[in-house]
Amino acid sequence: MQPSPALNVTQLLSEWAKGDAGALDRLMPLVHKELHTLAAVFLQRERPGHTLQPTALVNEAYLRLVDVDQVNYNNRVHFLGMAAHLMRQILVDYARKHRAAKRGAGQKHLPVEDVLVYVPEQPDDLLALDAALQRLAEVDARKSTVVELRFFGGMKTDEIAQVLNVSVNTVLRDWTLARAWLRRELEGTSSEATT
Amino acid sequence: MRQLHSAAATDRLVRQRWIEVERLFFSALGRPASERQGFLERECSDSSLRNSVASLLERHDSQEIAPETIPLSEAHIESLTPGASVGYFHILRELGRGGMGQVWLAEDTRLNRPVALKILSLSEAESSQAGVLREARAAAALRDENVVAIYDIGEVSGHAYIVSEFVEGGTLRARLQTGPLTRDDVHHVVAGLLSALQASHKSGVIHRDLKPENVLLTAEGVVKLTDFGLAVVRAASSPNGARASAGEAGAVIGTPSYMSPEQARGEPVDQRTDIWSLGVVIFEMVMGRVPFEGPNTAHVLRAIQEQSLPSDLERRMPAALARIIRRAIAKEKNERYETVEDFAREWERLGNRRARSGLYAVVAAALFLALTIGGLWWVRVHGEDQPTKLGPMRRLTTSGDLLDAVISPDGAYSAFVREHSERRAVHLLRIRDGEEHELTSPIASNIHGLAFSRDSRNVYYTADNRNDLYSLYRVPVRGGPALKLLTDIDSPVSFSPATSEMVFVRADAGNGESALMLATPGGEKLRKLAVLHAPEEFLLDGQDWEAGGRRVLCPMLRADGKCTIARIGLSGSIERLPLPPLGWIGRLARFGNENRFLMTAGRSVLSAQVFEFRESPYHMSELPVGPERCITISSLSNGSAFLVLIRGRTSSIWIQPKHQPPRRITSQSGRYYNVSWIPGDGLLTQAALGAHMRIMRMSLDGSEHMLLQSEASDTQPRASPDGRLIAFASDRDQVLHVWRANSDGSNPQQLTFGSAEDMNPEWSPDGNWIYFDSRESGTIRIRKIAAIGGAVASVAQNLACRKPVPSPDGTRIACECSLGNGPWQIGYLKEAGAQFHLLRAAEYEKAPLRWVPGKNAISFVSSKSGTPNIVAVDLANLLEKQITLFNEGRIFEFGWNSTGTALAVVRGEALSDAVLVPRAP
Repeated sequence: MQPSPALNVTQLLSEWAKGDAGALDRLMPLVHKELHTLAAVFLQRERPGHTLQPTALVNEAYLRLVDVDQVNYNNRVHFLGMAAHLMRQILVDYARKHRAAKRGAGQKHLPVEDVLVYVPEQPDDLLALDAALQRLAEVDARKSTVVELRFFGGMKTDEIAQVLNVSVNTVLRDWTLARAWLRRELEGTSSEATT
Repeated sequence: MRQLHSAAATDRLVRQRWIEVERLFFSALGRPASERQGFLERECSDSSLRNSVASLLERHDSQEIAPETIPLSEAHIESLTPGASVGYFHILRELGRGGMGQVWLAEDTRLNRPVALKILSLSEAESSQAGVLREARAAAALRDENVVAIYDIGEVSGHAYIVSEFVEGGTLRARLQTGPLTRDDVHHVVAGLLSALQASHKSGVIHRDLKPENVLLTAEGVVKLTDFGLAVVRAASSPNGARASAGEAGAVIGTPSYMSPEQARGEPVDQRTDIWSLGVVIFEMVMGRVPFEGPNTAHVLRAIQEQSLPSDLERRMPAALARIIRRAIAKEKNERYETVEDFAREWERLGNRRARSGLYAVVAAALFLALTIGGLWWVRVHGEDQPTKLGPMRRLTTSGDLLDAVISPDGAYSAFVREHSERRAVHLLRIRDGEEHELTSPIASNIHGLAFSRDSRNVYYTADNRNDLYSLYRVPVRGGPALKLLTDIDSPVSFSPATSEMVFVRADAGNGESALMLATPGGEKLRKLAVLHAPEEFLLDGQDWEAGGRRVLCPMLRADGKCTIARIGLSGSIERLPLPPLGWIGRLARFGNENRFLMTAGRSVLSAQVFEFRESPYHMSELPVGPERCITISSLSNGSAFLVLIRGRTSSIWIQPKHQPPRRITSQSGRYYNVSWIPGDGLLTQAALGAHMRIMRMSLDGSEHMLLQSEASDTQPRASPDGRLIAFASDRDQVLHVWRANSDGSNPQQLTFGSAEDMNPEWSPDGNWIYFDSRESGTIRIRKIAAIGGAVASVAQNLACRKPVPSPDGTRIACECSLGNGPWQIGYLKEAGAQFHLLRAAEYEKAPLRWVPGKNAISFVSSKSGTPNIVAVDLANLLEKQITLFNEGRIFEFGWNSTGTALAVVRGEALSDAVLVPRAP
């Protein structure tokens, strides 16, 4: 009999937490598959003005994949950290594919926080955010990761602090500066696009 | 290739710039918006950098949303728990709790900043009083570096809430509990409090509740006064003012000891009430107790109004300081300083006088002490508590290989352990003429825990069996077979003054239990005297009895990982002595027949020195034995001398240019531990200076200057590939962690945190990462961290490896590994796969491992030829080539310059010898 994904993922999570790096290699495809399926189902039901909340999807995937009674806080936090990264990849892939079709629509760009909610009709917002995060990672990888965990994983400050092994204060500082930086960066691309 | 280099250099510039942007951004953010522009102009001359920071600040401010008037509802207050979101606060954890309310660490999710959220319960009568919060709101407008900022204050259905700046750090109360403050600390704290009170009195806000609990000390050492205005809330909330609530609310208000006489009488107060309280706080910092004490609140309140200050104040502290305290704590408020400005002026004069004329000459040595352990300023003030003066010291051995050493109570003999070809034996040395002989035959076991019986006729020692348990043996000084007395013992034994009993420590790691055991000197009538449970434990290097034989003093590990002394009564009671925080305590021994004790201790074993302390009146001071680390200590029964086992090295730095003989560039008697090259021509070195390890920059002619100075030991400096930064390992936060500083030693930053000991930092060739090894509870792993800081990443998660050195092409990491708990071997890891490629089973070879520049080869120290020399192994054909031709001495560390045309080598001899230290006649 095929083992239930919940059991499998739960066990892999705890093996990973114990330091078995191989467990992560086996875990990632399972989580990626689930996130991808969830996102696809959602995005196919495309209709004008509808939105997708990456963090809701990550949470949904978590509930589907993991036997929550068997998993401690620590493992949950690591799951979210990994899922945030996968979610970003999936959404960026999706946005790229839909970009050609949507190009030239001339939408106005959204404020940073609103990219948290993904509007499938406006793939450029997400791609601009992704590109900005990549640029941020080049000068300050941790701040980029903090944003990724917050945007795509819906993680709380203390959870991020735990994943990154830094203090809550550091996460808040990182977030404060990264948010101002992204805002400036995204306004920049916005004006370039319009002029 | 050139392009690649310049791209990497550009990258680094960008990163440097970013670090600067971040620093300026947050410094500016901490100031009022109106002052930021001016601040940036002062602080930063680069206009493009300034504009960048300004534009970020602008984006930040445009996100700021005015707080709602009432962020919390009653339902919110009921549901406060970690993880909960109430209003726009995300509750992170509880900071404190008492009868009056709770304090939480929360995140203000709108402004993205951590805040302290304080909730005070008010009774119905209280909350109906209009204006309860009026003055508290005035306090909320205060902005001063030394005042904890209040962001919001309000009232909701029976609760007052205060949202304030979250300050990481501890209270002055907590600091006082770890031991008295240094003079410099006292001056620093008082200067901060004076500044805070000046700011608040100027705004018409009186604190009314100044006490050590309300003084916060941040990690950066900034003094911050908190709870402004709270006293008003409390006072107004109780019909009889603060007086009654002080009596009732015990836990929160605590003691009324800081109240002024007019406050105690329930009369109106003005700024002079804060001046009184500050005087009391200064008194307590200096004397270790408050001036007016009593068994209950009523007694204390009466003492405050009636009792005068001790008449001998002037004998216990500098007269100028006593005068200030007397004036601040004058019963009549008209006799006190009229304003904080008056107080501050006089206080400043005290500081200046001290700097100018050495008014505190009595305490001159205390400065050094302060640097060592966060010293004790009043120690030298009491004439009778002068530390023991020492006579000329005498080195008893020079072989540099002792493992343990003690002196007999009559001073006739020293016993020590020597090792020869993996076998160890107890040796006896007659101090009169230096005659030495083996007391036991050499055995393969480890030997520890040397001790003499009180009559100096027998030597006791512990040796391990195959099953890891140590047994206690006794051998007569005149010679004869060793007798096994008992098994399962983890410390030396120490005998009661009446010699009828002995104690030792037995650790049971499996059960997390550590016991002080009591037995007869023959090992009979064994019983547990006292037990500590993990994370507390007794330390294993040696305890001793008080002179009266009623109590035993035993070094112990506290739950917070610091060491202290436990005092154990024969009933099994355990008291923990209030020592300043010590990272390491070795052996403790009574010094003579008064209750004076000696111990080896320090911030960490890197700075272990000898300390003398006395229980009552309690004082502790350092005895300057020398620059080497002091490991174990024992004393003559009459207290006329003690013996220390010192450990260190003499070493010098040599430069060997290619195809040329090596030349020594430092003096022969230096104490260098480390050397590495700075891109370009200089060297970075680590040397023992005093009791600390210091990092220095050295020219090739041997001239040096110190780069970093701290109370701690800074070690293993490594310059980044571009020469702009230095990575190093330091115990500045009591545990060895990886740090980074600019190449001139400025701006030191801690990169790794936590309880693991991190050391052996090395840069990746692109300068982006710092590799290091990390030791925690018996495991050791290689890790890396981005040079700009961030999360720590594992490298070869499942392998026990240490001393990582990335290869110049960045694909491999040379290191030492222990496979399956086997011996350390040298080889390398490929960064991608976590597999260890064995190079040498390290029988004669040892780290440091160094990649030979421009070659696919690793160099290391090999003793195969009998004398340690540097050899290089070509990884393509595994052929070995000898690089140096030294014919004596040990090689501690070496490094290649970036072009491979020269080697720098630290060579010398190790030192581990017994030193006899007499009291000055």
